[in-house]
Amino acid sequence: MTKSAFESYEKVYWAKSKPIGFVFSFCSLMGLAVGATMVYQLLHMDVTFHLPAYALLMSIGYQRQRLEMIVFTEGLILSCLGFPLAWLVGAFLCGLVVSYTSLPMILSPQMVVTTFLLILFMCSTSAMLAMGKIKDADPADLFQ
Amino acid sequence: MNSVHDVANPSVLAVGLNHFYGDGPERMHVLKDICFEVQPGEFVTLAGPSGCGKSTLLTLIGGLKSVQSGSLDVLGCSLKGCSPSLLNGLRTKIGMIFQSHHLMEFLTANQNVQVATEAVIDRSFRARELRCLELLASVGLKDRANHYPSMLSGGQKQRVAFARALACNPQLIVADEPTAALDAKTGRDVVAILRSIAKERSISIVMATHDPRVMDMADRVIGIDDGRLLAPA
Ligand SMILES: Nc1ncnc2c1ncn2[C@@H]1O[C@H](COP(=O)(O)OP(=O)(O)OP(=O)(O)O)[C@@H](O)[C@H]1O
Ligand SMILES: [Mg+2]
Repeated sequence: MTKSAFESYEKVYWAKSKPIGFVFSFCSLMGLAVGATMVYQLLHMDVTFHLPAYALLMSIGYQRQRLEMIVFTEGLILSCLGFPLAWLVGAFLCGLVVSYTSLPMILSPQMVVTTFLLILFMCSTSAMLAMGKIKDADPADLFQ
Repeated sequence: MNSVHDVANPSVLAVGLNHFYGDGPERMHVLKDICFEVQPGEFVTLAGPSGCGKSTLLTLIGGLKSVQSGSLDVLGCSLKGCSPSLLNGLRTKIGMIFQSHHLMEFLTANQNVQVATEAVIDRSFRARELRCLELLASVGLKDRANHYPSMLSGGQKQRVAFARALACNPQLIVADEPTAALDAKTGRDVVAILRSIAKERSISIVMATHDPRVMDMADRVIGIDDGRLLAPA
């Protein structure tokens, strides 16, 4: 067996055959689901809070798509703001695990980029769901 | 009456306009066979008791509710069966003023006015900013441009709302009891400012009010009771 064949055999063994790999992937998925729910809740609350402002913008002639873009942009901003922090915390925890267990854990650039893309996907999905709330903004309600 | 009246093309023309709320036995006939017109540059007040349908009529004129029965033409656009995008376009030509100022608390007076120019005016940021300053000056608030609404009095906030309504170069302004939250003198002052700007630019105004202190400032008062227009006295 060559060295690289042994390496990939070991990787597959730990990732697929041992429960630790499964637990790891499962936790990542859970993290995404919980994150998506939290971002959705946050944006939904924000839109609800600002419904009169959205209604006013509609009365001025803003198109609904433009208002939806505001919510979508909010989602993107959240992901861009949250990611660096998450990266720092992740790198710190990784270092901690390495120093305590000597496990060769590396936060590769590929992993960082993949995580960012996943967060971007998570936030934009949540934002698209939260956009639906805008339909409750009725400019006619501004007249009493 | 104003000299700029264009009798052939009224700003607002309602013929046999009816409006209902609710369905089935709960259905309520709120506007009944409304017929009236407003000429360009004319200032009309709708006066009547609470619940008679003034605000409902204004929301129809402002293109915020769909016309159910009868016909309503606003600025040359027939609103019966009008598409949402056309209605949206129409709203950019109408300035709206509400009982409450509805200013965004996190924006300064100038930014609140700018919000209205962004939907329509295709100009640089600086040009828009200057135009908004001009508008604030025209309502006597030049020195308050960078104040947040929380730093302004009720009358000043309403004047910012007037500037916002004027920001899109409207041909028509619909105002729903803009003086309700103001004292008598401030109420008259703000309506006088609105009136003089509108006359200068030949903007039509339809204002709902039950405030007798500002009624005489209009060119014409249209009475409305229980959803019906009253014959002129
Ligand atoms: N969204 C709605 N659903 C059902 N009924 C409504 C709705 N809006 C208004 N109404 C009813 O329609 C009637 C006219 O209401 P509108 O708000 O037009 O009156 P108004 O003349 O503006 O009254 P006010 O002077 O108190 O503001 C009222 O009887 C009111 O209860
Ligand atoms: Mg009303």
